[in-house]
Amino acid sequence: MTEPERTDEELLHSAREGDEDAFGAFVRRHTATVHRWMARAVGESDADDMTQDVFLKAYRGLPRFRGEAPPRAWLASIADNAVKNRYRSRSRFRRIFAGSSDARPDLDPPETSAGPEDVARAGESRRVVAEALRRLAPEFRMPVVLRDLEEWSYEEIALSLELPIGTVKSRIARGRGQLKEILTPLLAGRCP
Amino acid sequence: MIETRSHPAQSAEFLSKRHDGELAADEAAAFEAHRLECAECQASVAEFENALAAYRSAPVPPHASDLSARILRKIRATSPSRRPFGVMFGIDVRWAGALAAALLVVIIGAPVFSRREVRVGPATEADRLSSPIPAYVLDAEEERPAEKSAELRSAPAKPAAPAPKSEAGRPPTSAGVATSTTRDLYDSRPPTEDARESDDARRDQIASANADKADQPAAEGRAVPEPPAPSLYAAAPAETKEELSRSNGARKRSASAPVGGEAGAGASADEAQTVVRLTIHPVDGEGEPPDVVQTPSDERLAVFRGRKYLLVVESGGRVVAVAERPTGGKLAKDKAREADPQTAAHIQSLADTVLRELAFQPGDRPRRVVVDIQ
Repeated sequence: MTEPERTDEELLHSAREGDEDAFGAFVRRHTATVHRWMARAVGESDADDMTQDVFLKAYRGLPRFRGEAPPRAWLASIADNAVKNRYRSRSRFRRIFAGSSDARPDLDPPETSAGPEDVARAGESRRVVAEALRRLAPEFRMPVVLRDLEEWSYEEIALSLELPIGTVKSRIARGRGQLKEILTPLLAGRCP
Repeated sequence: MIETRSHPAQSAEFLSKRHDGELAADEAAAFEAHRLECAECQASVAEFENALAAYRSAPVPPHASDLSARILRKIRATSPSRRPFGVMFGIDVRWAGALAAALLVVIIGAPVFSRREVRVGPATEADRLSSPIPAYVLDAEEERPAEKSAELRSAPAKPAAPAPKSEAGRPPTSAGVATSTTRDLYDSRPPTEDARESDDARRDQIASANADKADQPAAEGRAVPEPPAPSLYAAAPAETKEELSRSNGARKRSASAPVGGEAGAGASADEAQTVVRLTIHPVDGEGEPPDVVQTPSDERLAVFRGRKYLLVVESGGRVVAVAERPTGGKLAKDKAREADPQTAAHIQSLADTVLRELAFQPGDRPRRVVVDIQ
């Protein structure tokens, strides 16, 4: 007879009490989900590192987890902060060492040396989307991921990111607008 | 620039609401009528929907099969102070052996030390034989207030005998049971010649004091209670590290716990009320809290009963910052708001001074702990 699977809440409760096997089970249960978020939010090449970063932060933040939000919402909030911090620190680094003050200092450079025409012509939607995501403003990434990839409700996203629901709707709308602006020329095989 | 009022589909907010079906019915109908005649809005809607469709349908790469294992390895490597993965039922196997050995020593040692005490003078012997094994570990600290008060109440009738050094400043009591037993338990070294002489002198005095009281009736099968022997008392010292570490960092005291012999009987109700219990919780995720090695007196701590404070402890064990923590959710916040600001500031200032007198076992890194004062 197999032991009934413990809920996320039970695993985190045990982990807080010092049972690190429970946290191990929590990590294994959610690795795929967090990796999917990160692949969309920061790109495939950095998704593994960012996933690791999210769980490390979750582990260190265990004493502060009070169970007021569902565990996956708590993870999403950590992921959102990790994404924003990543670009914030990059931006600071670039300003200090390159004296750069370009308009979009916190975005990634193109992933490949191929131009947008080549990307679109190849018809590889995965690469096209990855390219678009690299130009999306960091503060819009997790909200758009949670809404359009994970299909969370606005209320759930607002609870997770600890934002007013109006702010969440606004960010998602602006993120979608940016995706449209970035993806349309790529999909049409034109320069942006 | 295209006017979004005449071309609503130029607005990302509008397109997003339309996509989510959040437009009002009349607004949606009006836009659809407009869209049939507006090429720009038709294109904008199509681009928006295509972009979202591409975003949603793009395949997400699978994660590496060993990613979970790598994450757990990384957590283990970067969080050394936590217990290792594999802890069963919250027990760390590395310490289980040491704990079992310590428990064995206590179990075997307690009767041995009790038997030694039985050899003391007649009245004391009867008292000890009739007493249960004294609660020396936790109760030892409770004797001190009684001893202090006895010292204050009674003018010394005889010249004070010097307290034996082997007792680490702990004052002997006339009741002697808990105190001397405690001393023996704590200090397993054989007594020095001076200490033996001092013990003998004390026992003689106790015996003579008991002889004076021989007409007092015994209560409930116990030997005649011994009167306090103030002349034997030394001033109660500040709490020692030894005493504090014995109670596992947090002082665990019970006002109702019996204190052996006359010292316990002599403790006044007022003194019992000044017992303060400190509970230390780590809040930095670094595992067990550091042991407390020094605390302010109960009288000074009593003012903060029912409060919790966040302490920042430097690696040397010194408290470098004190901040009050709400004692519970919204209710505590409301209470804090309602409090008189001047009183609150005064209490915070007092706490900042008194709680900085707490000292912890030095460690290899600064710690953050919450101290719950009850």
